[in-house]
Amino acid sequence: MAKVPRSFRLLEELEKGEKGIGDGTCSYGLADGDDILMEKWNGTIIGPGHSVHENRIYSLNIVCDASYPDQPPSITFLTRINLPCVHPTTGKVDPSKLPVLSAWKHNYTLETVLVELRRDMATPTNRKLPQPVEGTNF
Amino acid sequence: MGNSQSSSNSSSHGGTPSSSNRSRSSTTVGFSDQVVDGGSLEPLSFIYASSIADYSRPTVHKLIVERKLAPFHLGLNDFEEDWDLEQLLAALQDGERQASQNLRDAHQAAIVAVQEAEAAQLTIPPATRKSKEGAAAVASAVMHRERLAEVIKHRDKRGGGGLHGVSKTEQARQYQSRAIECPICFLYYPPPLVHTRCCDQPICTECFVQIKRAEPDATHLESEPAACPYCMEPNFGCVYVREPVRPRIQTTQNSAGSSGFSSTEDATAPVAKPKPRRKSFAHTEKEVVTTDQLHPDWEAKLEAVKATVARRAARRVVFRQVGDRLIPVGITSGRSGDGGNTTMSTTQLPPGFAAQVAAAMDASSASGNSRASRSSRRRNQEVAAYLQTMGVDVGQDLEEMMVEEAMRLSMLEDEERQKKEREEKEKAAKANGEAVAGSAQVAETSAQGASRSTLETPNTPHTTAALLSDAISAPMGSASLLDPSPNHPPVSLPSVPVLTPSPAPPASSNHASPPAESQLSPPSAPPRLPSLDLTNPSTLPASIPSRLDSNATPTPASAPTLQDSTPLAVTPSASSVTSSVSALSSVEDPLAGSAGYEQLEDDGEDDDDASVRERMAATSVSA
Amino acid sequence: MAASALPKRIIKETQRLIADSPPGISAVPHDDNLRYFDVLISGPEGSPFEGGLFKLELFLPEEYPMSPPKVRFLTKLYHPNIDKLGRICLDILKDKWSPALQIRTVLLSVQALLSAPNPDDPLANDVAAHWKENEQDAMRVSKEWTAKYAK
Repeated sequence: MAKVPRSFRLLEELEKGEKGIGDGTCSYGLADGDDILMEKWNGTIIGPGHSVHENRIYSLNIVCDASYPDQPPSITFLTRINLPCVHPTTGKVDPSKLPVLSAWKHNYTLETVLVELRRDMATPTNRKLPQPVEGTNF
Repeated sequence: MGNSQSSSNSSSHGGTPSSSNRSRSSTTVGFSDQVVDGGSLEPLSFIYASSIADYSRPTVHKLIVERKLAPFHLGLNDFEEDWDLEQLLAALQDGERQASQNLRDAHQAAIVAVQEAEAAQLTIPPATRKSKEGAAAVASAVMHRERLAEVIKHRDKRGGGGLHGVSKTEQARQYQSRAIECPICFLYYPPPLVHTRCCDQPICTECFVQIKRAEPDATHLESEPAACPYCMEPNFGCVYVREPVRPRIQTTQNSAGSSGFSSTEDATAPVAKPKPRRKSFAHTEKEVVTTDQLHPDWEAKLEAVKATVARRAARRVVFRQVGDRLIPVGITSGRSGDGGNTTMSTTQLPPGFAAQVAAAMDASSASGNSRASRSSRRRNQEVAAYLQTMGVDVGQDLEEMMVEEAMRLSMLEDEERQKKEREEKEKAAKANGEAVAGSAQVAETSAQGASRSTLETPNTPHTTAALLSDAISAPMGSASLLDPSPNHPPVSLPSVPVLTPSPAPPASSNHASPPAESQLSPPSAPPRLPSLDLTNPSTLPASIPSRLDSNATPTPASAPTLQDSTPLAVTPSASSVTSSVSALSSVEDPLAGSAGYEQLEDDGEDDDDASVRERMAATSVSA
Repeated sequence: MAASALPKRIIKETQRLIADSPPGISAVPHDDNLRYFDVLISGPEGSPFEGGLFKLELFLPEEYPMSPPKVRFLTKLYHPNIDKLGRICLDILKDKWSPALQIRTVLLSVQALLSAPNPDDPLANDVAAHWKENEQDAMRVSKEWTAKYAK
């Protein structure tokens, strides 16, 4: 099989993101449209229904360094959130606490990560965690 | 294969009765060992193993047997005209080794693909649209893997890639001093290959059967026939002209009989025509095999995508403004007929649709054998997998899939039947007036030639060509652009307008009028505003305000306040919903909350549709 | 994966490209990915890109040649049909692709595009608008960028 180079893989993801992925509850785009290396991305997750996150909009920073997609991207929440896999003061997602990152496969995408994070918010234990005031940032 | 030795093969091995082909008409079974004109009914090089049997195999089998399509041959990686038999045998062996590796690589990749699809599936919550998509992806990957395994097994059973009943020496002789390089795959094949109907360029059968219409997708609901890869003439088709070998006498006595192919083969193939053939054929002529014939499912695919889009358009979220938020209060459904706004008209199924479907289902079950249900289920998965690759939602229920499948089957059958009728007629006509047909053909030819020349400057390729001619200095022959192999005679200019503007427009005019066609729509549109990103842009703004509270601000305007870099979806909210919605959600297990949510998304059926993006209420729609 | 055989066509195209590269164009495959090429194109004479040397990357997907190669500029340039990420708006890279085209012809077309910008079908809208309003000034910026980035 042909191995798709990082840049063309990211361009594919970018195009998909520009068209809008899935149902729109997760979205992402390049942080800087000029960034030819396509390292920094913005992500948005709309909190899942029937949880404390419902109606909330979470913004995240995503970094795809040169090792992507062989290695997972690094994720940091900008919007404050109380979630076990998210560092309480920095907002950084601990890869070891999120299976999609700890068991990363190169065919996983930014979409996979965001969808998984959103799913993590809706787990029985996480969906009722007390949350910071809505709209505050790390 | 024009030589006498291979034609004797064809008579000794070519006798497979048509019924055996027919009964195995599923695309997933029925390897044929039959040898026709020294070649095979199945690919031998597996250049495109990763998209194996993407064409209609029964059709290809039939066309090869009828001598309307050149049989598959093993492609040689290298070839020299002065090679002796020993060198050719070595090249043959090398080709087989390569073919074998192609297959095994593809199989390996298919195994990995299954693993990846399964792994991806694990991360997706069950019972959601995503998970159905994932399941379809796994099923499709498994199917492809199994298919390759089957081919490999069959090949191993025969002890390699050789031709049944043909010695290696016989096979090698077919190449001797005259193999032709296919301009697409760069492998060498024994002549004659099929030639394009328009510009008379060769193409190997394995490449030819890969060329098809561009796949339709939700954003491009049209489908145009494939164009010739060399001259870009629309309605790509090829003609197989066998070398003149046999006197025609023996065929006439048979032509009245209709058993098997042996009678039709010589009646239809223009055997007696020596090269160079007449200039070009219309795509409708009976000698021409078009890519649509080889991919008869194109229409069903298109219809399936259209149906999905229509269904998606039928379900729109209706919002209510609460504070600064849009609250979805329901989803319109074309099915329930609650209508009440403008979107409905586009979504109603055409009258008589149900009857059509019922008839289609009857037809398919009546003709079905014991295999039918299994293969149709398999094809359902194919359709699902296919749709998924199109970016179209696969969350449709089984019933809908069955309907699509039934439509597809009936279309195929209808097509098949019509074709048979046509053939019967042609055969009859042929028997009556061989001589008349001959002269008619000549007349047709010149008419063709004339009409073609006016068509021969299609805008788009012309433009690119013009760009090129501009950029390339004069000494650089335009024919060299196509980089014909050393053994391949330089392609003549008119035949390769892909890059060579045959009527050589003045250089200045290229700048003066850069036709719009020369450029494409951008690889990706700039992020569009969600409220505009609709299948039918006019519908949502029309439908929303009608359901809004009177004090609501206009929703379409308030929705998209997005930055380019963050294609953010519109604020969703399912908390402060209307009574009907909360009633519904209260019935649900709270734990199933997100699943119920996804379930709904399922109904909404999509994706890049902004109405769906904005949607999130938990209303069960079409239940 | 790495072990899988490269189609003969790709091998032959690569050999021919290296043995006989078109004027002003070079394409060299990566050692660890023979479908992935480093490309250099020199700006065509008489264009605002003249004198510049532009870096591109090209990738032959699994389906090549039934699908077009993927190509992108890595050097910044001011051109209405090339966007900030180097993506190229060219028909033959999209729906007008033909399997009879090759790496060589694709790169020649890209080079030709530098000579013949088409602001009527833009990928970079701001650049296209500039081009249409004041072609002279737009070309001046192209030249500046060429001098600045395409060395």
